[in-house]
Amino acid sequence: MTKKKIGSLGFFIILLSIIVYWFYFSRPAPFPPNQQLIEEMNRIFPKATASIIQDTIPIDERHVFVPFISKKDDYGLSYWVWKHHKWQVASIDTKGEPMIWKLNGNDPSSFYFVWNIDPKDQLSSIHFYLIRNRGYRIAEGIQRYYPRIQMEKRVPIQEKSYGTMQLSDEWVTLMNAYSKVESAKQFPEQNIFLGWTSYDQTNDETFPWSSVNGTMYVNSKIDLDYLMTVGKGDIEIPR
Amino acid sequence: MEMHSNYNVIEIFTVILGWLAIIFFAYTIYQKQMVKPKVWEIPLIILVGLFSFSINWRMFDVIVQLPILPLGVWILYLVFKRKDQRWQTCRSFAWLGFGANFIFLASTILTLPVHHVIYPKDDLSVYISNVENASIINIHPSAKDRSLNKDSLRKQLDTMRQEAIYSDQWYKETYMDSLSSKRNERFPYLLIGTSSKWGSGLHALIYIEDDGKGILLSTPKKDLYFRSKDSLLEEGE
Repeated sequence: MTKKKIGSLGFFIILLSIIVYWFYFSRPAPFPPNQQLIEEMNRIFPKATASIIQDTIPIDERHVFVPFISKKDDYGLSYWVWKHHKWQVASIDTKGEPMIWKLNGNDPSSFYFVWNIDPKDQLSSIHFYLIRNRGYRIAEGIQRYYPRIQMEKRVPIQEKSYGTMQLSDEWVTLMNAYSKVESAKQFPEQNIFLGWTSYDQTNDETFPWSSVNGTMYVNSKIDLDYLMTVGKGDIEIPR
Repeated sequence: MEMHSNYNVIEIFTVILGWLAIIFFAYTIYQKQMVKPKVWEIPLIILVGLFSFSINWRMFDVIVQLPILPLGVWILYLVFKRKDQRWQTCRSFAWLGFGANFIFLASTILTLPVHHVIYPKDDLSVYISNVENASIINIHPSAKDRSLNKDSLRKQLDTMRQEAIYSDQWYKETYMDSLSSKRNERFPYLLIGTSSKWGSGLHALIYIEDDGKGILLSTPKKDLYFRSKDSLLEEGE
């Protein structure tokens, strides 16, 4: 190889790495203004009919949660991700029933509850739960007892219709310890799940009918999960 | 964010030994051959030879894989059958690859008793070996606002008695009053921040009983129940 060839090869490699870096790893640009968000949402998913952006809540550098109100007066959710050197809308839901957004696959410390409850539903609070049902098993002389796990986080939702909440440290610790043991099992057993119940002003259990069963646009790259709806009767209270 | 990475050191060690044995056999075969294959082909052929149909076979409380059909060897045979000479040179390595399955099977079986002697599975201190950063979290609303008594736990680790688990009874006692959703959990605390004995690769969920004097260890294979004389929790109100 001549010096010239080596030189141009080196130049090519450097150029390529700059482009790759720019495309995948560069720092995010400032988040687009509201008007641009609305246009983008309605372009990619016309059913959204977004008309008012309520807020833009950065979850981390590359993930932004954007609650919005549609022309039909529905309270919806949109999820934005900085990817391929662009702010992209990863998912749009025309209603704002509580969901869990998993930013980083199996790492529970990257899990966020998100919600946007229609004020027509007149909720005063949402209780989020981490539950594993009680159980027992006797097989081949081996006895197993599964204590009930029931952890709770209450969130008032009177001032704002929307919000996000990261899983607490205790939940994350528990989920990590749990999945470590579970993954070492030959046959995985009953699992831990996340759920919610909602309460009205008089602290009675109620269901936010105006905030559920929306239509959803999903870009396949986003990890969003529905939560179990838990009835008040399924919740244990100490004796 | 692995705070307490704990690998099964014995297993890692035997896998390395297994590979060393395979390299040794490959070397012996290579030495004896009149017509030698290219050196870089050998690991490739062995790896393909490893590929096999195997059945899972339960031994004590582990499942081992018993290789039955040498799929990799067959594939190599199909690839090389036109070139008789090439097949002759690589055949032994292909079979060595299949044989490697048995080397690993044997090492797994040999490892089990060794692991059990070094890390007895019924021993509480194997699962809870370091309590320096230990604490408890309340996993059920019936848990009281109490904290872990580390000294008490440390002192009693070796003296706690193993007792029988009455899982169905514990379960049913909880639901005695079936109409109400007022229920207490028998094990409302989880012990966290402990680590198992170094190199054991063991993980367990460690529940603490409501009176503070019982530990339920939930390991991937079974549950173990221990009782202590004194409470492991600080006395609350």
